[in-house]
Amino acid sequence: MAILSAELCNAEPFDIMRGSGNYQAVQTLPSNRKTMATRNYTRGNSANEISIAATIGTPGIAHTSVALHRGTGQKLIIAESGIDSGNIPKTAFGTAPDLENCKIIVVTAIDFSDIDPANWESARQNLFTRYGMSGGLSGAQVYNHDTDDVTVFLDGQLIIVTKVIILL
Amino acid sequence: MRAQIILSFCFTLAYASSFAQGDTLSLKDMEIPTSPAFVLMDQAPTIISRPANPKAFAVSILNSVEEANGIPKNYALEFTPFWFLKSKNMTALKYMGYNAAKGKQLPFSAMRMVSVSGAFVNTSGDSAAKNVSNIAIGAKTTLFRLRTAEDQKLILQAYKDILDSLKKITKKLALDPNFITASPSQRDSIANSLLKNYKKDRQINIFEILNRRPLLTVDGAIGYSRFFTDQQYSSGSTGRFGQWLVVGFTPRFMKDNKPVENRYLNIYGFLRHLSDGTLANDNAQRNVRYLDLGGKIELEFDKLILSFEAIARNKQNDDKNILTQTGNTSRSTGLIKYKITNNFYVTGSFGKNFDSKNNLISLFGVNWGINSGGEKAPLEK
Repeated sequence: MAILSAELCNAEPFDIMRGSGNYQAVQTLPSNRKTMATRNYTRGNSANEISIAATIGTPGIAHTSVALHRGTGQKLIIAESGIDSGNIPKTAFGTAPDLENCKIIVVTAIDFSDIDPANWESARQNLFTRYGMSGGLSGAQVYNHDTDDVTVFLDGQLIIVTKVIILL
Repeated sequence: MRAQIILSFCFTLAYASSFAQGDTLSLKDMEIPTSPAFVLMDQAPTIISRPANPKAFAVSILNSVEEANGIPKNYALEFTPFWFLKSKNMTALKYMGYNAAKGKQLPFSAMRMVSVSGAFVNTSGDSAAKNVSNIAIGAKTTLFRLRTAEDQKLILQAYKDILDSLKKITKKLALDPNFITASPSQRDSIANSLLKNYKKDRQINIFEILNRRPLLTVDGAIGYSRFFTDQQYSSGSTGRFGQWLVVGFTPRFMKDNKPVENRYLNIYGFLRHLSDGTLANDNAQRNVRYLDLGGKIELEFDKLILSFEAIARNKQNDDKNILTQTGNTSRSTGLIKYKITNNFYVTGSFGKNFDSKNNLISLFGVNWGINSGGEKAPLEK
């Protein structure tokens, strides 16, 4: 089951998890500073391929990129949406043992330039996002966007949705 | 009448000044379509109109200049369910009416933008003693829309430009480990640094192209009303039920082989079937069927719309026991619309309505849209 782990995120969970002992990287943040909430996905130990998919429902122009960040600092784009929508079909990006100390960052940017500005707010309120993970011990998990995941720019013309999924 | 005009004028000025800001939208951008609930009651300044940019929520108030109390008596609310519903299958290309896989326009895609309206209209019965209150509901949508090949090409080009910009942003942010651990203000500054040149590269304003009048449209509407006399709920009875189609053809003004922006010649055809159960002189309810056929020619400039419409009506009585006039009648009106400021415009129309009695049309109206949020959203230049 996915667990909201904002506290873990505040304490630089990635460094703690990988057991690097790099506690210099752990910062005590002021209480009024909120970092992005994260979700966890338990990958298990099987040799199954772990996959990600994204479904973005919006009349705005959308693009989604998914990056894999390894504990070693290596990072790479593992999937991105095509020309017709912000959707990403189910894409396998590694087996459970390969993905130790990894996290996934999904970023969807949506531009509402094609919509009457009077309707930008409604378009934002009714944004549909579904990021799906499967293949690991957690099975098929779906993550929707939370309020904190959405950042609004350019007076509402552009929004960026970010989802962080830590692979346990 | 003087008080009413002064009140309307003051209200207009106050509203206009409170919203005075950069003039970045043309009249048609912010036009609030005529509510079908008004159209059903023949109370709209124009009967022949096409849906344009349906707002999430809009309010219309219309006032007849011959009424002397200064307070508008006719109100309509209109909303578009599309803007209140989530859809996992919605994409920008579908919204814009384009099938990417087939490389073709989707001429029926605008049907999903159906808008629903309700109106409260006060009319005078044929008898002077009668005060008739009408409640009407209506719905309308664009059934068919065909853009010019040139506009479609520009839309796709603008779409790809925006998509390329978004692609750069999502990739950079997804690969930036600082973005997720940053505070909200730090995230803003990271993203803002990426957005510095976000709009500068754009050659085409996609909304401007999407908002151009399509070459051909077919719009449909349906409406139903009930009426009440002398403020008695028990007097409620079916008033009108109607359905109508508007076919619009808009050839573009060209200059040096390029379309002239914000100037249009619109030619419309109109067909309506109406069943009318409103009161007759003898207080008996009559049931009359109308078949309306007409047309409209309209000239659009940046802030001004001038139009003339003429509709012929064939009248048939369902109930042969009630003596009501049958035969042909007509309506002809001239209309002028002027934009005061964004989201707000005034409409005036003058002409002859159907029927031989009380047939003067002299309307002065204001329309404005209410956004679902309080955001200010000037278009990019």
